[in-house]
Order: sequence, then structure tokens, then C-alpha cells
Amino acid sequence: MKGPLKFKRRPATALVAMANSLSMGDAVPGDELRQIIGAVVPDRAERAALLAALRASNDPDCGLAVADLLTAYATEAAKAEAQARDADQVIGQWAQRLAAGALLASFGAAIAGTVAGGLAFGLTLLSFSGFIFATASRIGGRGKMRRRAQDRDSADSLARHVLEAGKLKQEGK
Amino acid sequence: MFEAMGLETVIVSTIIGACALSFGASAYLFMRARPQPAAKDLDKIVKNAPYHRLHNVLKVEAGS
Repeated sequence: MKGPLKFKRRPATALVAMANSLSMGDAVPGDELRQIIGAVVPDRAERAALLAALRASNDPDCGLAVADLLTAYATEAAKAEAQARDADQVIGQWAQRLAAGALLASFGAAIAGTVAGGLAFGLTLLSFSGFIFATASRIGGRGKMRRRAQDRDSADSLARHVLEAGKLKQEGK
Repeated sequence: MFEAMGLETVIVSTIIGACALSFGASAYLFMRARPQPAAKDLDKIVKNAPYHRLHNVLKVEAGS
């Protein structure tokens, strides 16, 4: 495959430059690297540009370094996903159950007549809004979990494709 | 010590305590789910990436 003679400065080429720089012993700030990989992984155009740049490069080890960075990013995303799942199952679920229990208790107390009038109404309202708040926060947390899972999958598949591209190049296809 | 407490006080304080716990946990979850602000502008990172290391590996345009 013949790539263009000169590549543009874009996240994909910046990632190749950073990987190359890292393999030569230069330090690259971790947050910048993470941000660049985060921009390359979900974008189809950047993924295609990364594969084209790696096939056009003269250094066969460059692809390996990029694939390793992508795999490290996928591992990080998987860790964040597991943490988000733990928070959802341990904290989110119990917050929801606690609020639902309080709602039932306030109904029970109102029906039995232990708590009456404005106080009973206030308690019911409080526990009902607590339940809604807990549900909304769980939905937000699960959205983050899903995003991290998607990041992990995309980074994994891109790392695999980068390695495949390196193999094809070595075979001279 | 607790004999003087009425049933109403016990029930009301239990429900309010459970709601406070639930609110606190939900607020914590909301804080966790908030996206982290980007450390730097992406364009700036792309512009300042170490392209000089690529001089004989890959040709990259000098301008952005």
C-alpha cells in the first residue's frame, strides 16, 4: 500500500510521534498521551490514518510501540469500568434500596397513624425524591461504565489491527 | 435512656436518616460520573507532539 508522501499533523500522527519518542527514551507526559489515544480510538478517520501512517513508516518497531500503548490504554479503561461497576453495585443499588425502604416505611407509618398530617406528607415526599435521585445517579454511573467498556473494546481492536498491519508490511503484501 | 422516645420520633428519625444516607450515596455517584476536565487543549498537544523524532521514519508536514 502506498500512503501519501507527507502526513498531516493530526492525533494519529501525534500518537506515532509519541510512541517513537518513547521508544527512543524521551519522556512524554502521561495525560497528553492518554488524551491523544482517547481522541484516536473512537474516531474512524483517525484509526484509518493511524494504520496508513504505520504502514508508511520505515521503522517496523514503531507499530509494536503503538500497539503496546493502545493495549495499556485498554487495560486502564477496563480498570475504570470495573471501578464504576463496583460503585454502581455496592453504592448505587443500596442507595436505591434504602430510599425505597424509607418510602415504604413512611407509607406504613402514615397508614397506621403513627405519623400524621404534614409530617407524614413531608416524609413521603422526601423518600420519594431520594428514590428518584438515587435512580438518576445510577443511570449516570452506568452511562460512564458503558463508555469505558466501549473505549476498551475499540482500543483492543485497534491494537490488534496495528499488529496485523505490521505483519502484512513485513510480508511485503 | 431511650424509653422516653416516642414511636413517632423513632420512625421519623429512621426515615430521615435512611434518606440522608441515600442522598449522600447518590451525590457521591453523581460526582464520580462527572467527566474529568481535559488537561490541555487537544489541538495544542497535536501541534507540540515530538515530530522531530520521526524525521527518518515517517514524513509529517511541518504546518498543522
